[in-house]
Amino acid sequence: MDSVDVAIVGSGAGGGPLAMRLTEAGFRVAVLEKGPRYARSDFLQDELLSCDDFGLFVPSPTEEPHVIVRSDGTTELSSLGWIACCWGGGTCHMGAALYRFHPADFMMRSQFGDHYNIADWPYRYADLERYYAQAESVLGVSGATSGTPLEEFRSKPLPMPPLTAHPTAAVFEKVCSDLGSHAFPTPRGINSIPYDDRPACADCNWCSGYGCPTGARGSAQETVLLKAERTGRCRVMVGCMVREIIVDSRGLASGCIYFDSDRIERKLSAKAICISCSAVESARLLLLSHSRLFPDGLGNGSGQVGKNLQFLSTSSGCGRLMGKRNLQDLAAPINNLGRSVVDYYFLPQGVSSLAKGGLLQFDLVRPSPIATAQKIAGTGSGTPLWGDALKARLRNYFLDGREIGFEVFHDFIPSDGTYVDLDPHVCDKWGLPVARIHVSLVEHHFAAGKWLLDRGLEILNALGAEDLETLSHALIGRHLIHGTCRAGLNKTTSMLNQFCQSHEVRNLFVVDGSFMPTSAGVPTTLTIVANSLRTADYIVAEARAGNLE
Amino acid sequence: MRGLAERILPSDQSVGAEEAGLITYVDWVVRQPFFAHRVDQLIAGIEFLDSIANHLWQRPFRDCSSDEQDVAIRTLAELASPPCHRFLRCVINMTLAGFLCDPKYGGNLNKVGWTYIGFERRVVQICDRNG
Repeated sequence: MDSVDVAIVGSGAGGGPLAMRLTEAGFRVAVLEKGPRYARSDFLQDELLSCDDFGLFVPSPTEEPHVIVRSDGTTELSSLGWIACCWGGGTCHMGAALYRFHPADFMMRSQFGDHYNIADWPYRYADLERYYAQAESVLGVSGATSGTPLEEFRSKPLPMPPLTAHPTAAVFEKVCSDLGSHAFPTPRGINSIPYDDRPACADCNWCSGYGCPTGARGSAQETVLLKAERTGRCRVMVGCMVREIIVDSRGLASGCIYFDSDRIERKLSAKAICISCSAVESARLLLLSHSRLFPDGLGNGSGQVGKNLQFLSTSSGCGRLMGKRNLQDLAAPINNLGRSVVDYYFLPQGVSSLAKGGLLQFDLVRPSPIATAQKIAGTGSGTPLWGDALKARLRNYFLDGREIGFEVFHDFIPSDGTYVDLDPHVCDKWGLPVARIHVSLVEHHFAAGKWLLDRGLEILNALGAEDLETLSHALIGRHLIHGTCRAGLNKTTSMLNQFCQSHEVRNLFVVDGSFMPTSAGVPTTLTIVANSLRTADYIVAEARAGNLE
Repeated sequence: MRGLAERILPSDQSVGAEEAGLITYVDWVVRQPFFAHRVDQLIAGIEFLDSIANHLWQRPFRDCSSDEQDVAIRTLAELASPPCHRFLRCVINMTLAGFLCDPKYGGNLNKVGWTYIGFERRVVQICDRNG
């Protein structure tokens, strides 16, 4: 039968680094990816066809929906819970803000006490530090050499200097410093100089949310997956949708059943299986893989699969910079401002029952016409603008000044109300039950989100921005998904051990964001990559010692 | 749909939906698989606009004058009805996408939309590489 050493399901930030490390160590690996493989030239500089809504990355909610159940009882079919189905996964269109976590993010419960389902991680920042450095080197991260103020220590400087910034960045730093905070260059997985045989960023109109046409972004298919392929031991299986992980009579994973690109059902056997389909779909695959030995889903004896789903909580605001005061250089043809503030990573007393804050990430808004026009028409919610009023606003907006925006990120608090299970009625185009996502936001999201938004608006105000506006408050950040296969030391309250290995099935691993007990106050992509490299080292050692058989 | 798009971005002293070839874009977009889940919503909304127009002027929306069409849209917008607002948002989003998209999809004819807002596409060098 068709067989490999390790089958990896999903080719994104979790599966990609694992494929690289395992193939470099001599293992024969297959990477199964349900979506297509795009070339750089497929990432047209075309706002319409490159954005999520138009199906390059995310399947249509009529063909492969998720059922969303909100706490008010309403349900809808949605694409929430998909990140990107293509070779490279969500790293294809990531904004690539690649921060390390703060050491406190690894020990939330020890640090803050009981708050809903927050828990300590089964390892610490020190255990991940060298993998962070490896991740920064292999993806290529640009930023201040000293990294970010979040870090306790770092063993290596970032490999590239910061991206060229708009002249307003210097004014911005001064304004923050006057307010007592410290703006620093956002660490980006985007080349500021030629690096790893890829060009420096061309600072084009479309970035986050779009594929990179030049390869300047360190997406998985440009970096780790490419290195895996170059070993000659990585089998690329795109268009292959895995429907079940199968087990042998001893209760070990023996392979998977998948539909190939011609929709024919096939079987692949493997000595170890790594699941990395992002948190919602990884949980779904485990729940779909029930058997006599695992009646509640593979590795789900603890009942933890699907529990403690976390997105990232995001809020956002913006203002208009007009070419006066200290901003004479506003028209400079540079789109990148790229400054972050983490002075509010911990909240003062009285803001929320949990004293954990987050990140403010500022940037000039890139001139992407359709998205911007839709936003200023107010089509997000309420009654939108149309007719002459819309036309006048379009023209004023685009021809006068520049927009500066910021995004707030903070922890999405794991709770019993936010989880994934299988929908009892709705099936996808393959005839498989779809994931049902229950969402309930705890008060902290609103309190912390509001307080952090106010800090951001305060900075914009001091910068002289006009028309300050809150764009969103305590929303679900749809591109960063965690939880559902919690890692921990206690087998009854977690599904995975500290190396993302199933407590019950020793040759089964989950290596995307699913393992995270808590989701931190910064984007999580770099941590998923670093954790994947750490897991890979463990798999190599255990496989060589014969412990996975 | 043509009348509706032309009310959302009217052609007066400056270019609007008509000059941008909006209807060519709409023809294309409603046939795309990614749009399939919105088609019913769109049809229902247009039927509802027709019923407003029929009620007020005894003729369908498309046969109404621009001013009458504006009144019909305003009537729909002022209803405290989430489906009506969703419909209106969907149509506005679609019109703006058609006004400002890459001209190869039929809209933004001769880049009139981009010219209107002063947008210039920054073209970058693409060099594919093989594994």
